[in-house]
Amino acid sequence: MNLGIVTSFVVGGLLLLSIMHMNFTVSNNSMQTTLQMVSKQNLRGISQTLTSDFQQMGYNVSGNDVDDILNSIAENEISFQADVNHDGSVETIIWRLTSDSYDESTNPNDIVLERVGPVEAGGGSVTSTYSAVSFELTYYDTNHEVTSNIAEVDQIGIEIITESPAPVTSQNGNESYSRSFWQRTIVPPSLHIRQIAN
Amino acid sequence: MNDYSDIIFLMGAMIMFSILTLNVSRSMIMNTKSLSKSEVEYNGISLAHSYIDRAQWASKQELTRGSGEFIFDDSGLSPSGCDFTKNNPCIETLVLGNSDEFEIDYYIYVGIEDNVSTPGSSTNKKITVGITSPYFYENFDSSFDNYPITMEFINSFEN
Repeated sequence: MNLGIVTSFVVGGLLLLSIMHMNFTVSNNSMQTTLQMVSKQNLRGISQTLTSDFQQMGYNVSGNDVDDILNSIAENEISFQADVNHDGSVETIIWRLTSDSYDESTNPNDIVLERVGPVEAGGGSVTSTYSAVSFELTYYDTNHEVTSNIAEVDQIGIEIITESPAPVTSQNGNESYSRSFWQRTIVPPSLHIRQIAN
Repeated sequence: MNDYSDIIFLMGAMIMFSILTLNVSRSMIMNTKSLSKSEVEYNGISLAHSYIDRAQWASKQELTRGSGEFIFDDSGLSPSGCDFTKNNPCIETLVLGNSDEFEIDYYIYVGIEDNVSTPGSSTNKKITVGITSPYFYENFDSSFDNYPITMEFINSFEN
């Protein structure tokens, strides 16, 4: 066989392999970027709703005690009173991380983060679901010391982790999920005013 | 020359392909870097918000350095002895990753400026929260001259 043809095949084959490898890398990277954006968008949605709810915690609630506002507190769940849709009536808002897996995602780590409360003025209570991997609440007193006593709560620390709904497969076949993280400590005005008054 | 022209064409093609590959790799790295940086920035802004949130409800004494009630002490933060000043900021570490394998250090400075545009009957305090992180820079400037995330809040107290 002609040496020139053999050499052409070898060089052409190497080039083809390089192009295929590059194609895989580029499409993988593009997929990773998209999935990371999905994960971030999801987290932004949760953080904006949560910040809005927590800052309005206790709005329009009568009573001078913190437990007039907070119904229950736990590491993965909080229930409180607020007029979040500004219609003059106080509603119960619940944020909780359930143990149910999130059906719309193929990520086994995704579980349902639930918000129970009104979403529009005059509307009734609605359950909204989000996907999250972790949702942790830490409660602080006025001195920024961790507390589990509902009457002492002044500030609330929030930590949320979300992951992409689908995995990214690396060249060695490992699957990984893009992760996003958010944390913030919120001082709800109505809670703080009651803590100072008491 | 006819034999050599094939090799020259091949070398040209290889060089062009290499340049293309390098450019693609560079753009992918830039993409990943900007995504990671936006994540670090977003969390940095949230952290700054947390400090402003605490400051906006604090009393005058709680916002006075050395008053004994100053709310921004170094409890639980590293390095010990940090005092939230510009040159001695405190470090808050966020732990990330599937098995907590990543750590992001945020250097936090809280500036308190007294009597900002004060009417006679009140005292104003301007609180400036500055956040920086080694992840914001190629070469992190340890002199802390520059805090890319800065938030300000003015609190007013009756005299």
